[in-house]
Amino acid sequence: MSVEKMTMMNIIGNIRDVDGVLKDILKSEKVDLVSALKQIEDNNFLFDVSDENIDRLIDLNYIATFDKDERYVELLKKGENLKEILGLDLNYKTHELDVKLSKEEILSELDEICEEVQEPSIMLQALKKELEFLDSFYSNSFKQISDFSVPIRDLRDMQYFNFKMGILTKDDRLKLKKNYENILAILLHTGSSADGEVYIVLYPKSVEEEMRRILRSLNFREIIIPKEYSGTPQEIQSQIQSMKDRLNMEIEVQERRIAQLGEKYKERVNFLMEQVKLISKLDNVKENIAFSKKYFYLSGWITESDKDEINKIFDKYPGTLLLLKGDKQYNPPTKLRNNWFFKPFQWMVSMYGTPSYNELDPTPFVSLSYMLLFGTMFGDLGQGFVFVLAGMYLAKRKKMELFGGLITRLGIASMIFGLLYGAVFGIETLIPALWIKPFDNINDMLMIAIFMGVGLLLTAYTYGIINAYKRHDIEEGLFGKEGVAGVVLYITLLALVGGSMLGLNILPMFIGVPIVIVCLLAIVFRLPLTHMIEKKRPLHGDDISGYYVESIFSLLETFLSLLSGTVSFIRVGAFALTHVGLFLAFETIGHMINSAVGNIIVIIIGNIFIIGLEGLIVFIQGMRLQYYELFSRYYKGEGREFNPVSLEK
Amino acid sequence: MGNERRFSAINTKIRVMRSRFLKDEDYIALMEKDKLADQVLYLRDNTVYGQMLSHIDNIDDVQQVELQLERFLIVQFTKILKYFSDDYEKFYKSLMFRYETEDLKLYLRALARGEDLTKYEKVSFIKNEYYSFSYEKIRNSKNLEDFIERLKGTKFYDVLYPYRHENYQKLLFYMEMNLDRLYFTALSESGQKLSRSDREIFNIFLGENIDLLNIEWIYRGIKFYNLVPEELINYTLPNGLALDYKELKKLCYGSIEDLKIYVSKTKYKELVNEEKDLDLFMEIRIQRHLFNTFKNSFKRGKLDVSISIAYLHLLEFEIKDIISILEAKKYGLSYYDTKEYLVRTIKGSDE
Repeated sequence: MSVEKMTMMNIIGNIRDVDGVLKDILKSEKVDLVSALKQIEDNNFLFDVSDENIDRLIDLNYIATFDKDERYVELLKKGENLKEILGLDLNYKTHELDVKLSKEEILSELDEICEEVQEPSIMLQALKKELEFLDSFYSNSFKQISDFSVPIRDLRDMQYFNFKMGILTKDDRLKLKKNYENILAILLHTGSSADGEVYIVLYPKSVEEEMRRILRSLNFREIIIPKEYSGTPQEIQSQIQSMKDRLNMEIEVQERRIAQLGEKYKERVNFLMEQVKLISKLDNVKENIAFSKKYFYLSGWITESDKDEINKIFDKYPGTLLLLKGDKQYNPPTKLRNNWFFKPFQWMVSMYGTPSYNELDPTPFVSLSYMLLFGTMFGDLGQGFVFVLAGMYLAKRKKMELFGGLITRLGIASMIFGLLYGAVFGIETLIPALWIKPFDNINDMLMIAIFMGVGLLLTAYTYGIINAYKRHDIEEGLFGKEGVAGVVLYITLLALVGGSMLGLNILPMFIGVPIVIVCLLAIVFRLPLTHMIEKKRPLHGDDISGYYVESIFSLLETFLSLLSGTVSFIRVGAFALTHVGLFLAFETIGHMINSAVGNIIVIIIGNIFIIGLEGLIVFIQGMRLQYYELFSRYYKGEGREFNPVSLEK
Repeated sequence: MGNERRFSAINTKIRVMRSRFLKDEDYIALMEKDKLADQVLYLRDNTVYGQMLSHIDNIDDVQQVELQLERFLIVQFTKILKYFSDDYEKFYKSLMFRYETEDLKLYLRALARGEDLTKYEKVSFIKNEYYSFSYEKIRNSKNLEDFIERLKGTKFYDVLYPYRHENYQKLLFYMEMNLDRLYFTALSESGQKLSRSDREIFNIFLGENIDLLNIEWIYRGIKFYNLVPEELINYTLPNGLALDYKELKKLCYGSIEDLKIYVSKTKYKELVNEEKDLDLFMEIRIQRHLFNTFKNSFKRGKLDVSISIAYLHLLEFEIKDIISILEAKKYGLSYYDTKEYLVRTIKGSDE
């Protein structure tokens, strides 16, 4: 239920232990590494100068970072390539592995396998290309003239005429058509290929040159028919078909060969890739570590509670120096610890931002207040139960555990309020209300909502003041509009306004008004006041007039936000009413249908509609109240999440 | 998105950019300088081009100066590009596509001369990302065949491929024709995706441009290139505004005189005004015609594509003019002769 206490850990170890230490750290998933070089430069790597340490400290002068070896990128590429060629379905597991091979060994082994695989794969590609070519170029080209009984060889042997075969695009074909009367040639459309329409052009040899120029101006792409095709188009087609059959057979042979190779090397490639991934992971982590000739220097954050476990790891490596420095320097990362009940709400908090290390964890407050708001707005025993079931189902799905848990808890809140309101699936006659029937007490409901809001706002202010105190922020904590001055102002105004509205004399005007004025002055003069307390000079920054203009205008905003913040909570009551009202509408439709079956169907549809649509709206409205009305008053969320290194990520 | 939202920011920006065009006085001052170096210094110190020219170490190097001026246009292009998304962004990119084709033409000519491509730095564009081909890849081509092979996978490949075995002289002509055609097709396609009102404006711009180019093409084709009419018509560009395929076909199968008579009856009649040598002045007249069209768009000042298209073209003409002025100095042309070859008509110019 809090932010875990952190401590900075500095380690100096023997360089031969580095891989072992790193692997243990990765496995433990308990250390958030930071750059050791930076720690050294900031002189945080301070050790007692005793005889046994002196060697390590002298070595500090020859320190360097780890030069990342980018070769594993190449290795990964090679492996992936191999995987693709062989069509392997690999499954990398990195957690229980040791580094058994060096990069050189992996490289040479991968190369060997590549070489063996290369030959059939290249052949396969060439065969496929040839097949494609035959398909797109020749077989379609002769399609429309398959009843053409003249063999190509006869065309070739003509004495006064010549022929060409080639492709024209659509536009060019049109041009030709428009000017057909001026062209001394016969054009036959013979089929289609991937690039366009195929034509045979027949023309007198005497206009050869002219024809060539005209065709060129049309972007005619000639298809050269190889010498071996000399029969009729039909013969050529069957010639091509038999060639395709032969190619297909050869392709099958090569494919089988590759499949065999894949079977043979599958496990080995898998193992090699696991090694590469492990090495690359270690290399990545090593970027944070500093090295000297004999030692390595490592820094990272751990939680206080993991201290002993970490100590145990390093017991395995004699000669390793471990130093815990507490959480005083820098800005430690934040690790939230919440019990199972609050945990799902942590997800909502981190969606907004991670709390700073010295900020209160807002999760418990968020959990309770969000459940309260949701329950009030959506109180129904039956519909709440549907939420519980849905949440439990979602929680079993991968990556949805937290969201599912959240829905379950909201469902429980809804059920509790369902009991209080006496509502089951919208029907209010089945069970008695333990507390109040919203629709029968509209004004009370709205008042309750505002009181609830006031309570929540005051809690939020308290959180804010505690956070400011922890940050030693006098300006915001004492004089800010969310600090003590703001709270006193808010309470006084509540007492004055609320008193006169309720007809009670809670706070007499002659006390209340001076308090308001003092608070407002404190907010306006917060910077000079702070500087006076801290004994800082000058009292203002550079731009004094700018400061006051801004400050005075911020008063307006203060009033507005107090008012709007409070009134905003009316929606809680309003949605509680809407919830009943919506169902009333469906109930009326049900009555109008005037048959028992129809009535039940309408009520079921109504329930689905309310659970889906209104459930979503209430979920969002609750979130809005949290993020906008409450968080803005107390929560900054500027922290960095504790992110331990691990093998998985 | 409505045109109000799409164009209000960029059109305002373009008005500011346009206010930095050279004044007539700048033109005159440039032409009156005695030496090329003085002209370049004037550009550097007094005009918006100064920024680009300050990178040059040798101001006597006309080629360098010209390249920097052209790059200024690309810089403005990329500024405008940032204001658009989706189909409009694609449209402006396809306008830029022209500079890619121009660069390719430059490479082709260099290859024809047997030069080494590595000495050409990124020509028009400053950044590689604006090229649809890999600039690094083609720069190392050894010969034409190699060059075309390296363009494989781009849209240039299909149009250049059939010519790879031709002899250089002929092939340059055909390749350039095809590159131009590719540009116009791509531009026209991307223009059809604009909103309806913009599409209409664009089709008029493009249609006029195509008419003018077709007239010039047929004129030169008949007069100089000695092409068969079928070739002539096949190389004309489609989607003209006033001249459709049927008219073009008639012109292609006719004579120079027929062409002149026909054109003199259209709104492009100043093209065939025989007061000056047609061979020399047709091109400049085409540019002047377009120049005036674009200038009028600024006068209309509507919130649509016209302003940005017009700005880019006016800037292009201005840069062309500056280059003409610099070249004229190099060849020793007089003040009055120089003026004849400028797109913009300035005081004292007779047209």
